[in-house]
Amino acid sequence: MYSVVTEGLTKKFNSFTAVNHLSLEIGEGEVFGLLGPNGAGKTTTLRMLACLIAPTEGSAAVAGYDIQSDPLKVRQSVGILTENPSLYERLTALENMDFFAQAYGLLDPQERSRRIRALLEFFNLWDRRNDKVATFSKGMKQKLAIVRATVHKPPILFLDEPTAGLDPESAKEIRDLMAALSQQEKSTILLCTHHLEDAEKLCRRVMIMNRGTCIIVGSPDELREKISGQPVIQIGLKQVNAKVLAAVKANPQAKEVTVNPQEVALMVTVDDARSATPELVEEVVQAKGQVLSVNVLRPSLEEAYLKLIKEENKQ
Amino acid sequence: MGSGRRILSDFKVFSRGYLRNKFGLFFGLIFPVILILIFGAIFSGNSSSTIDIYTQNQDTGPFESPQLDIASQFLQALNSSSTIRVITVETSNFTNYLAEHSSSDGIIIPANFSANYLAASPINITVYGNPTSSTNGIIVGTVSAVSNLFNLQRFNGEAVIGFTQSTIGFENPQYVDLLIPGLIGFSILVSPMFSLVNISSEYKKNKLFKQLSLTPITKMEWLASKILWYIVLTLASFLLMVAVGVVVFGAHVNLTLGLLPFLIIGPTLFASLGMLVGTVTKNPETAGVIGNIVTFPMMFLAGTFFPISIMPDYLQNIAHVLPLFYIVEGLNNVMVYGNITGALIDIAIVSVITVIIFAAAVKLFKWRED
Ligand SMILES: Nc1ncnc2c1ncn2[C@@H]1O[C@H](COP(=O)(O)OP(=O)(O)OP(=O)(O)O)[C@@H](O)[C@H]1O
Ligand SMILES: [Mg+2]
Repeated sequence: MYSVVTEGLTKKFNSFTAVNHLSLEIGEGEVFGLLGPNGAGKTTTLRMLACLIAPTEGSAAVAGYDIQSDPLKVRQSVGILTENPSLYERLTALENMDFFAQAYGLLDPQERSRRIRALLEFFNLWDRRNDKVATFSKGMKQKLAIVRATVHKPPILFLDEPTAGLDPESAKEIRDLMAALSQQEKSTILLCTHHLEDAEKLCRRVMIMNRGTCIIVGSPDELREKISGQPVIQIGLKQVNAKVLAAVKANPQAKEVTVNPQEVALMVTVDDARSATPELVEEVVQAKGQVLSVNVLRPSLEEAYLKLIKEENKQ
Repeated sequence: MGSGRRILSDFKVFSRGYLRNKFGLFFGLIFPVILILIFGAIFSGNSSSTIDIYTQNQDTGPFESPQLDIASQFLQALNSSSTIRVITVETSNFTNYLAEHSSSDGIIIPANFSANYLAASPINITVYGNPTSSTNGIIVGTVSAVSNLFNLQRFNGEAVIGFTQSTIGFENPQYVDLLIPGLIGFSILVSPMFSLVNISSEYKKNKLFKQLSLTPITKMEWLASKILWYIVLTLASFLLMVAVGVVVFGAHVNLTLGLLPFLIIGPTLFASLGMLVGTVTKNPETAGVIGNIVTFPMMFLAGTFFPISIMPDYLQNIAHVLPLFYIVEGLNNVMVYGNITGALIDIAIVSVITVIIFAAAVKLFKWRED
């Protein structure tokens, strides 16, 4: 069963189409990334799925409930991190979390406080629990908002840029939490992000959207390969000489060979790194090249993403 | 039920935030008390204005010539004293009439007044009033002075006209007695209006409403918890003001259950009105301005600081379209005059207005915009 299914989901603001016939399927327990430049329509998609705004066209089901006819059921099944943390500034972190947990129907006080404590401790906020939220930094508020979104253990999570504005350590904490939620609680997570690293590390599949439409969807590996093709083998040498270079160029698997500017490494583009690497290394060694290191480089998701968006915007 | 529980948890979170905000607490509880102290001190002296007194003239003549209509002459003489002003009334039950008009002072000129005067038979005028009130003393003094004058003129000192005093169960109100219901009305108006206008537009701006809309809490539940809070706040403020009024100024108040409808419906009305203003306005700044436009006239013209009877007619007419006027008048009727009929009319008017405003607030109040 799918946790989220959309079909031709469309949102128009007046005549402007923010989301344009978007169709996607997210499996149960899957972490799905939604990428795309500013204004691509990520937040708008999320808001429609969370029943905060009604779609202009198309349909969607979340946790099996139609977003148009069953908004209450949808809302009970999801935890949402919105763009703004929106907390009661005058109340303490604990009071805020306690209130929202109750509002979400976590009635047993012991279970509630256990859950809140575990989450606050996870984010190292337990010591600050009695401080007013007004005194919290942006990142701390963001963490509280994530605690709020997850406190009632919703089976589905919609997270809009959870790591925006966070330091690398905090961003890692949030990634770890998402990983833990997906593995231990089998939560389905729909993640909007600009941090391609997050997407690469966490998401089983990602979708890149631009101007309201889906450009491409697939696993991070698939996207990388689809977009920027072949792997590159980097062979680090004590020194590059003509004999070594000629030997490598002679190998039929080497599609393209370049020497790095410091003249200490060869960059060899191949089709299949697994079969090419041992052959190439052997030839270098026979040509009396002194090998220091061998790496197989793949383009990062970021490179792939940038290339893709650039091509898209040229059209 | 789940709904009650959600109202309760929202009530808790809201009251906590409210109590933590010194400003709200000051306006809700302390400020009205300060006003009582200030106004009470300024006006605790007796006023020197003329006292209106309802009078029933039962005289049966003879009326052949104005000279023979002694009762009218007597009333004219009372009027020219400039301490009291006679208002003649026709009624079968004079004491009921007084209660309905929230007055404890009255005079009855008996039948055969002129005939007995001319025949030098004893006459007995009845003066109603509360002996402990200052106005009663003035009235009694004036009536006895005019009676003496008439006795002297006609019969060279032989007392024909005498009068008996008759006590009515409540005192003619002192200024502070009227000030307490007035300022309770003030606080019923001001604390929900100022804070809810602000809160509802603030929550809208920082998206807290949207956040709440993601939880199972409904708009109605949220509104109910606010109303509940302002009722609690009003009751607390009521007790505080009555205590200060009684202890500091020796105010006289009737503490009866008849007050409760006003103390419950009043905050409901203005909490809804505050929500309505906060909801229909685009941002906190306009909300503040509109809130003030709605609040300020009521604050001063609804009989809060002064009884509206001292205001010119056109202002009194304005007062009659202000919902707060009926709350203040109703509180006065219950607390000061014991005028239950009047209070029932007031509560009926206030209830109708409240239902309308509440329905409008619920209808127009949106958790979020698209
Ligand atoms: N309430 C609205 N009224 C009018 N236009 C809107 C509204 N909300 C969003 N839009 C428009 O829809 C488009 C998509 O916005 P959206 O917030 O979904 O982008 P996003 O992908 O989340 O961008 P970002 O990465 O900057 O968060 C934008 O062009 C935006 O201006
Ligand atoms: Mg966004």
